[in-house]
Amino acid sequence: MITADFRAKAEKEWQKITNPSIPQIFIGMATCGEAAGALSIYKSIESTLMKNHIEARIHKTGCLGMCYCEPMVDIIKPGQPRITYRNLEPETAAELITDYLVNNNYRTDLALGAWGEAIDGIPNLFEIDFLKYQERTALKNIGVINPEDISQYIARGGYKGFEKALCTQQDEIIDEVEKSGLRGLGGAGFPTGFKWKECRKTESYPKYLICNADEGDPGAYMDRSLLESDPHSVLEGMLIAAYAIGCSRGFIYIRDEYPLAIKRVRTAIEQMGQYELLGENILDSGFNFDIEIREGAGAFVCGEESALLASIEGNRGMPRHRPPYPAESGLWGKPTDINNVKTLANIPAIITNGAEWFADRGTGSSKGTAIFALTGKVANRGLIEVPMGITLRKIIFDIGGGIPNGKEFKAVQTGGPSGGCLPAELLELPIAFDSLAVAGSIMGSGGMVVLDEDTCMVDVARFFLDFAKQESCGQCIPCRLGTKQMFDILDDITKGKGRQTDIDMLLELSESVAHTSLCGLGRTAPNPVLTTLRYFQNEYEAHINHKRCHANVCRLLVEEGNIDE
Amino acid sequence: MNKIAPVLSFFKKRDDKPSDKELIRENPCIDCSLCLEVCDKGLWPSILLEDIKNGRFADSKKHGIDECNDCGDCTTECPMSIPLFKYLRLGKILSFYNGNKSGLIPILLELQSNFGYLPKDMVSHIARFLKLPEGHIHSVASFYKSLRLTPPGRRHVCICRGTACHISGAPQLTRDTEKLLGIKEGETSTDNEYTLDNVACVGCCALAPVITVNSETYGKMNSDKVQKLFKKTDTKDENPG
Repeated sequence: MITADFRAKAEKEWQKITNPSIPQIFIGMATCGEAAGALSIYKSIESTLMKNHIEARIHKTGCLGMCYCEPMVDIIKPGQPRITYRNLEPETAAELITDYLVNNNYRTDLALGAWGEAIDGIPNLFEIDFLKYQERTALKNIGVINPEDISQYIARGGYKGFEKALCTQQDEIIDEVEKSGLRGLGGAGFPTGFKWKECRKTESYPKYLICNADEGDPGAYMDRSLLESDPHSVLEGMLIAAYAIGCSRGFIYIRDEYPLAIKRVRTAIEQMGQYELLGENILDSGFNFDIEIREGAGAFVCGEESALLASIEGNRGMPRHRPPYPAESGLWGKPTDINNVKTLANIPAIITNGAEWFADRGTGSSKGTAIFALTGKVANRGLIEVPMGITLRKIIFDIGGGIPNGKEFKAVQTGGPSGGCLPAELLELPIAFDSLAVAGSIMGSGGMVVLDEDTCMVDVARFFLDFAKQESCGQCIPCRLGTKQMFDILDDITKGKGRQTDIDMLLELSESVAHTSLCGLGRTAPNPVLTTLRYFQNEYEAHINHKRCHANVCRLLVEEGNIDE
Repeated sequence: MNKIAPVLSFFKKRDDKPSDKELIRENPCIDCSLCLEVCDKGLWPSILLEDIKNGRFADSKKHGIDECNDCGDCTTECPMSIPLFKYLRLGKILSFYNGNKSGLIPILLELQSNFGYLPKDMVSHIARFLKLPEGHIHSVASFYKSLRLTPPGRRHVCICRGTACHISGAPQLTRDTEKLLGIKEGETSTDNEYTLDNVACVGCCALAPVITVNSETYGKMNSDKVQKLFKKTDTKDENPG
């Protein structure tokens, strides 16, 4: 066990941070924070503290998910709540330090919110629109703790789920997960408990566990944020899964476009080793497990589980036919369980709080919460965790704050290249695995890109087909050539060379590609075309018949149109 | 003057570098042990080279290859111009994965982070070490987008083509950057200064459109900012320090 001593020490240490004797400063240093300039803020704050001889402690945290407010800084002053400041520049950050820490001026103009209570014109952070409707379980630690310090994670109840799991029968853990109704949050929505059970049943050893962090969907970054801001929650989920299934070796497959996530996970794994949470005889339970990081090398198709296996084995990442499923014959022919980052991050909470607690939220067949990366033409862009069954309108207009610059909402794209575009008529659609499938889209890994009136839907369809065409592994013909043909037709339409027969041709091609491709990439590649045709056929017709692009995106059409006039 | 300099004068100092074939088939090393003398860490690079060449990774670990700090002194001192330094780097990577075939992709990625690309000779060495056909390595290297077989420019510019970036103006940004740098996507400028590429998604969608230059991320780009970005880095480099 993590000794009670150590947990108490960690909690005491955390108490010192939340209820400090000297000011505590937290700077959001995830990739998005750094891209927004968090490093220069860090330097500026450090030098201001030195100059004014202020004794304070600086923590590097992850990202709170409010990417529209980056770079962000939190300050806890002795006797005051934690206050979050937004959109800082190096100069304003320096001002803030002197004003707040020296002159006791709250700087309400820079503040976003105070944690837990409203003070002096600063609203309660959790009451502002972006956070009010969210229910954070998997994301509960992001932006709160220092991801490179295991004791902060432990102080906030970390590894309690694993400790509880170690005292439980393995079958009971799997039953609990099955009862909770947790479904794979990587896109396909396969029941997690069932997968585990299958893998546990297979009589072949050793068994492997893989965490799929190859988040290739353009427009989605939930896994990156989670791994950068709270890697231990995912690793704890892996430990529980490995114990329940009986795996002895685990891999976490992260794409190499996320160097910071790789670094933080590496640190986290090292720390787990120090606290006997990895290796032989973990916490004196007789359970052995090791986690290894494998970097992806920039192939979208490796997010598909059989391609991922091929990549870990050191081959070209090409999918193979299923069945046999990895649960029977996976990595090196051994039973392998593959789960997404977000699925695993939900496990500790399910084990600690019980299946009923988890199943309480959500709709009939989609339990718990969904994590989305809300991006595109929306005012509040960021990471959200909402209960399943929430409507699109609530997400886009209440949490996201609507469309900026007074533009009109046109569509929302969910599920990346495998998903579809949903129009304004479907804004009341509740988010769940089944309802999205009926509308022609998918839940996907959780990318949610909002499109406004300046977006041309034909161009969006062309963009996704271009992506699918480039990322197709080239193994099966429907995907390799079908996506190319569809792309060519769409390209012609956007260039004003559309023919009357194009729409029928696209529909026909979509059907054959979707039905005959080998893996998920090909099978879902036509989705963006099908949904845009279903909901925005008038735009296709305008492009083909009148050579017009109403959004002024398709350049050749726009330029020719100008000449005509 | 070095202690064994008189002995060395018997050998003709080679100006040309020994070819890889030579290095493998014959051993140009004359056991002068100069490399041992210059090594700060007290390693014996020529012995390590033998270990690596014969695929004895356990031995190379025993001989302390992990301590090598890539200073390159052994290579400059070698009278036979053996590129020891290059081999030690490779050996370090391979010995970490213990010649395991499944480590191919991490090995290639690590090699690339050392050399910027996958040099052809190194690829053939890896093939020999891992006992894989060279064609297999080429098939893997050409499949993955992050692996490259040609050297990139000094500044590797990647434009994100994620969905959020696309609708926020990444196509226009690509055209602007192409015009500014005078190269098309996927090309390297003739002075080896810039390589322009695209990347599937760097996961900074809230800051779209995004450009990365040598893995540093720049958000909320537009054509003015692009101009400033490349101008700024240009002038900075002209006055180092």
